[in-house]
Amino acid sequence: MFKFLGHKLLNKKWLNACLLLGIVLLVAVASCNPMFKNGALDMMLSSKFDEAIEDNNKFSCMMGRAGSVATEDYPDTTAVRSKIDSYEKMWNSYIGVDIIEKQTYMSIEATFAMSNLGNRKYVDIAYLEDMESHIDIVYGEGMDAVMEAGTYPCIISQQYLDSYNLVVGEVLTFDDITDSSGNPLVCTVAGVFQENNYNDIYWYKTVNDLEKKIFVSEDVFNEIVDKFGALTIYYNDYLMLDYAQFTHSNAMDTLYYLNEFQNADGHFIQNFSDILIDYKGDARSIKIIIWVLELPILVLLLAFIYMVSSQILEMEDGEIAMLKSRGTSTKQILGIYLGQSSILSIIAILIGIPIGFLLCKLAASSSSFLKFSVRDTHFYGFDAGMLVYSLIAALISVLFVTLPVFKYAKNSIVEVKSRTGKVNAKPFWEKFFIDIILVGVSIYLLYNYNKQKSDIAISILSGSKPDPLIFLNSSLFIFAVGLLILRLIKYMIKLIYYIGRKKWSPAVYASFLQITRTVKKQGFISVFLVMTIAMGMFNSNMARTINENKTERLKYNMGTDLILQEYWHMGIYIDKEKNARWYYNEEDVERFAKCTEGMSESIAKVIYDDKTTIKVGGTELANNVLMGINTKDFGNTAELQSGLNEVHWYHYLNDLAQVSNGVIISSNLAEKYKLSVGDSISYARYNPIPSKAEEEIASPSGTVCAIVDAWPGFNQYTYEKNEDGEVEEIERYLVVANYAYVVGAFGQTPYQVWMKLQDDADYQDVLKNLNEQDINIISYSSIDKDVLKMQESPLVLITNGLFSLSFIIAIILCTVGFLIYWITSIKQRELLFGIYRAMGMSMKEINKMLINEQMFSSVLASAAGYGVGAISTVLFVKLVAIVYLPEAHSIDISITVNPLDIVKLTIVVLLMFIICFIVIRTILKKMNITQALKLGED
Amino acid sequence: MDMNMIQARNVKRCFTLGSGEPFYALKGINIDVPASKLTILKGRSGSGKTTLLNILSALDEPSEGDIMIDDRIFSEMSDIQKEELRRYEIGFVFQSVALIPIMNAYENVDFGLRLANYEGNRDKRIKEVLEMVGLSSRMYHMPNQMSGGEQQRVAIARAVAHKPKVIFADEPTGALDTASGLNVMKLFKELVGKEGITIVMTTHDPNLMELGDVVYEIEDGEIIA
Repeated sequence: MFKFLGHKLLNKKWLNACLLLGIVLLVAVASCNPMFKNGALDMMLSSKFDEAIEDNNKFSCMMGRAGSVATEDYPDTTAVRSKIDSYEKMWNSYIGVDIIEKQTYMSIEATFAMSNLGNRKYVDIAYLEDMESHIDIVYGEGMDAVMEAGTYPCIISQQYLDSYNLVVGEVLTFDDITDSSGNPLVCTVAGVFQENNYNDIYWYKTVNDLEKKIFVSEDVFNEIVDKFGALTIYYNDYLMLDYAQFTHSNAMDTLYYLNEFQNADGHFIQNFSDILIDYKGDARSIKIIIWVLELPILVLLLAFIYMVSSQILEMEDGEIAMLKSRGTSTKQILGIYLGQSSILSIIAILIGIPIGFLLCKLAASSSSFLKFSVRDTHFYGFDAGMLVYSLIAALISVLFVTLPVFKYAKNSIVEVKSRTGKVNAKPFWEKFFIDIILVGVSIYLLYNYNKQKSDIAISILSGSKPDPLIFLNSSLFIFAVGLLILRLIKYMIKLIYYIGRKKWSPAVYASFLQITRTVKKQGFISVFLVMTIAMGMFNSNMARTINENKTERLKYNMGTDLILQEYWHMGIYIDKEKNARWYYNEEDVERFAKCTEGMSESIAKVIYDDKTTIKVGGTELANNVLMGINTKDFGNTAELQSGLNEVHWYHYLNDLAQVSNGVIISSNLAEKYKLSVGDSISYARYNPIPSKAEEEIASPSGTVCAIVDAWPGFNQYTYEKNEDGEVEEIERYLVVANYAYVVGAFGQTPYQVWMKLQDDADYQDVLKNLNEQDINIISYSSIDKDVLKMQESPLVLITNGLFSLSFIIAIILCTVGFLIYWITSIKQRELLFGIYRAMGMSMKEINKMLINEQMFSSVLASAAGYGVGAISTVLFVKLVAIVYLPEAHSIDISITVNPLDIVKLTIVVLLMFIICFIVIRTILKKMNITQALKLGED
Repeated sequence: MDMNMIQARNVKRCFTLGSGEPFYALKGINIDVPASKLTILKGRSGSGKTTLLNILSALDEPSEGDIMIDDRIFSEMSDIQKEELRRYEIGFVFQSVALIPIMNAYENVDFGLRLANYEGNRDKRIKEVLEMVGLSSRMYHMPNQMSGGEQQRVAIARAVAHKPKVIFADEPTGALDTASGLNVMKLFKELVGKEGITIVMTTHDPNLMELGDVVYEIEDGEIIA
């Protein structure tokens, strides 16, 4: 049996190789799904933890407990530790993730009288586990310092020292804590400490967070508890978990356990359930988008498999009929084909999974459409789900290969004979106008979606999963218009044929009849061509649009290449009226220029404050953006895409430069208050001392000298979650004033350093240089970093990866499908060509006939493919792009087309035509007329 | 007037067998085909009659010997000249699948006329020849909608439409029942009689022999009668 099947497969080795290719690709794309999905999810989860660390400056995966014990039961640190251990053990048994660091402290409450101020201060006397190895003593001694009897050594932070005006050696007397003989507890400040490494994750609570605490050694702590009869020991236990171990497979369980712990234990604390909840929402979107982006290519692959299998069956229908007439049952015939396709499918699984693995790795390294970069893809690994998916794909392809056999297996030899040369009837879709109906449906859907654009954007921003139909509708449209175009091409051919029917040469005459009479067969390849080309174009434009618009918006939001915020020390003093006053010393910006020589092109200092209140008439608008700029430097350093304002933005800079108290305002502000140039507004900034942040520093007025629609680094929309958890669009307004005027009005405040980099400069080198020069950068944003982050964000990565894959696969299918269609079509028509040749047609005429045939079926269909690609781009790209760019922005989504993609596509299509023509010619040249004619004889 | 349309002299056709040995399908044939007559090549299958017909009609080339058709010598003609000969001066009726499946009866004949660059009114001529073969009512039927006999008659109409000098027919009655076969033969006789066309046909059916003006019997690549 196997020998027979093997022989049968080899008999049509080329067609079966194509079939195998189709199944292999199907298995590969299907098995790619779970690997890609899980990889993307894991990467997303991990990046969420990373981002949270960056945003909050705190380790983002902590759980622990803040509790207390009675000293009756737990008399010392060892006892408390064992209690904490038992909790940790219990949590760990559920969560099961490694603990990479612990921060645990125990404390007792105390008060002491401040010798200098006279009022009592509450303070915790604390023991922080493993403290010594994480601190430096800035001055004084450590907590093991030897003290005179009756006083214990403690260490305190700089901040504590400052805020209470303490000095090293100061004696703190806690008169409410006494020993059995009534002596109060006395501690002496032995030294001042600070973290020896700010980035050490040990410092979940930083020294600044641990306010109002003095720290003692474990022995001292135990002695105090014992001797002074403390009743309660408070403890805080923070476990830093290795979040890299959280994956798609355990994230949801973890979330469940966290909730359970929290419900069962009011003292349980953790900081990452929000991340997991956020992940849960995004994961739904990711899963859907992967499916939605893969679906068209899966459908295309199935269509391909069906096409090849039908071709094979058509060539074998004589054989099938022969078997039938010799008494083979339909079942047995089905069995043969089932066996045949099973062999192919098994081979396909063996080859397909590794290919799927590679495709996934390739997709995961995409940085843009059809652009791949070397990148860490360790998140993407083999997944057991791949086996399941590939098995399902293989089964479906067996089904697709075997199902058409039914049609053939029913026929006896007599029916086959009578069908030979049968001209196909009108396909059903044409008869029932399915094409027009589908086009209508898709346009209707598009129209509806377009009406709801802003709702869609808001729901995407709120984290809802995108509606898959938004994506699939474009594929539906391409398919439906493909059919419609096929209908139109047919009408057109009929018309052309009709117009010249009297004069057509035999070759043209025969080719026209060939096309119009075999529309069903030709139709398949034509629709296939239209779809692959149109989808290739659409995907490329879609991906380009997303990438380009995202990048442009990032650039706009940033305003320049690199923005640096240096650490500025705020000095505080008490004035005569006993008010706390602040001051900053201006830092020299020239240092930046000096140490980035050769890397930076220009530098500007920009006072940026997004808490500014704008006042117009009697109304106030809080939380708006003030920029204080030096117009010349800013003009050189900042960048603004052209076309966003009425005139080049340098004109506005010039206007501002001429009026010292002038302001440039955003057009939304001008509209809101009907402001025009010459009007005046005022703007207020607030006290930088956190406890006095409500106090205005000043509220200078400015004369409006320009009104702008767009400004570097200013986006007029932001989004915030309101109390109900719904995302709301918040409009912001902008005031730009002269740097000197802002400093004059509000005093010297920290500025940002905006830096335009030279083309080949790397921002990381800039940071390194600054660090070497001891310039303390506390935060920075880099456009390169943001763009990279955008490219690595799961949604963009998935889209680029899958669009690129789809494009590559579509091109393979298109080429192979086209070739086998034509070659088999020629092979099947060998007898016909024999007749043509016998009747005296020259090779030249036969070529002409074939060219004409290709012209009107394939070339026209390909041309239509470009048309459909262009139309679908115009109609759908902006809608689908909302899923990726839901935010309202000063830069509207604009369709980006990369002509190079279309050139690539065209080269492939042209190559396909040329190869096909050469192959066909070779076949025909080899054809012997008498041999061909013999085929007609039985 | 008794002149020969075709003369074959010492025509041999050698094929190479799978074993590498040469096999002579024709072993030195000499025949004369008189003009405006029905010539029958009779023989069992495998006798070489189709090979001979193919060579006579310039579809195949002899390994040895030469053919003269209407005063032209094959060995002196280029491929293109032979194509033109087939196209303008010869009509073909093939054994089984005679018609172009994607064209209806009318179009099949039309195609033949276009190929032969027919100068007159094509539409009139098509209808004329289809009427002659008795199929004017089935003019717009596709080949698969017609019986074998009908298809063969359309093929004859197509072969004759452009008024060729010679019609070659390979087993034109082979796939037909006796009555249809006889009809076809009757048609051939009429064509020879009325239009003065020269017809060369092959058959293995001894009953048809008496209908031919000239009959050659072939066996093992040789003329035996």
